[in-house]
Amino acid sequence: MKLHQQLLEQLFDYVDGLLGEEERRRLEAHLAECEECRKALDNIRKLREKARRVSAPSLTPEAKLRLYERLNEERAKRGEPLLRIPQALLDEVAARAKAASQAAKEVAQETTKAAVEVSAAGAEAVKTIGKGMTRTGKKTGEVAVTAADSAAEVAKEMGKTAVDVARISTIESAEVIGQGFKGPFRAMMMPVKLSMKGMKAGARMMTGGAKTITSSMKGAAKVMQKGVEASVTGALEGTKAAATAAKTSKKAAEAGRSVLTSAMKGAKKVITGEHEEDED
Amino acid sequence: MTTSEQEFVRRLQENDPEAYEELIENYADMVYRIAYRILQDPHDAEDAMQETFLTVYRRINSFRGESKFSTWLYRLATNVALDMIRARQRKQGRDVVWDDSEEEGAPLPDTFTPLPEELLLRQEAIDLLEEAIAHLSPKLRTALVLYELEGLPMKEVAEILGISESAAKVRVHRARAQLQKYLVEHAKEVAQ
Repeated sequence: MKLHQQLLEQLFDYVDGLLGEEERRRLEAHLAECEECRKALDNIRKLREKARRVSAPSLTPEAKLRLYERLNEERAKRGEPLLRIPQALLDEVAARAKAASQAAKEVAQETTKAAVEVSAAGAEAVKTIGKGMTRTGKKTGEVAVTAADSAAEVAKEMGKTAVDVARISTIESAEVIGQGFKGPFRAMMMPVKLSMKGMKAGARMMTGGAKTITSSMKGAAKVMQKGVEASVTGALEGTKAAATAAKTSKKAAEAGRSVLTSAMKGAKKVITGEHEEDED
Repeated sequence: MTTSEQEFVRRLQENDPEAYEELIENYADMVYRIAYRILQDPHDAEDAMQETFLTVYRRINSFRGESKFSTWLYRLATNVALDMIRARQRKQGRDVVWDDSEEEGAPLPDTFTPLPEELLLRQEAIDLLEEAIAHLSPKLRTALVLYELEGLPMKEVAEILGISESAAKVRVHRARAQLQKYLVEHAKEVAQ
């Protein structure tokens, strides 16, 4: 909107009631015809109303008390009688200090309470995780014992087979050699028989070996089964520990929120106290 | 000056402690408010208030009663606040010579952009207005504060500022025009 500078000045003066009678009448006649100037005038008026609602903070009782103290300091330097600080002002400052102190105390109490809760929740989490670890350790130990048992069983089986094979081979070889002394034909057949016995012993050895392998596989299967069980238990314990830790975190968050709420309440009390007393 | 005002000033000049207690009780709020509006800082405003009352205490005997006592007190408070701004600017290494011609000699803009109607109805407009007042130069802000916010007559504003009434009027008009400009430029931020 293009507005002549002089007209804008006149609009300001009109709003302020600073126009002379003649000027005012002329401007009003112009306003009746000019919509743009009417809009500008309305805008200036509304802005003025808004400007009057711009507030300034009130003087606090503490600042007023400091003013008394500052003037008394100056008067004391000159050896002049001091100003009497009104009792009402002293009471107001004391009441506000008490309210602020109470609010601070409440915040401190809430903070301590929350800190204790957080600490307890943390200890609980550590305890649960510890329990889970102990159980997992126990299961791992059981698996190790099973593995050792299986290994011992395998070793025993292998040893037994070897002793049996050795015993049978010795007896049978002794029989063949004994028979060899009974006649030249038998003596001639002795190496053949011996080799057959050797073959038999080899077959027994193979059977023993197969048994040992079966036993080893059984042992391994047991170890694997125990291992799987231990893993499942470990996973379950881990899940439990994680759930407890999550609960603990929730508790800690709640405790934190409680501190914040308390701090906000405290701050609000202090602020509200100031306003209430300012209005008084 | 009214008779009761003359009597009050006489008691202050006689250094009557009770008169000083009355002075604080009746004028501390007003002095603090003016100082805050010019300085835009609560701590500086408290310092300015203390300095103003100390000045009354030291200079009350120089008060001749040519103006109202409250006008004299307003002038002291305004001068203390403006001196503090100068000291603040000096401390920041800024130029402390305030150019009067820029504020008083320059014509008002010949364009007038009205503010959106909805902005003027919103509460946020007050916040934006506070911001705009803070952006005015100290001299324009002081004139606007005394006239528009304190609601003093132009004649008294001129007396407080130690300038002619027409010069005071020009400062108020410049301040209003600058507020309008600032608000138009920042109206979009409020609308968002």
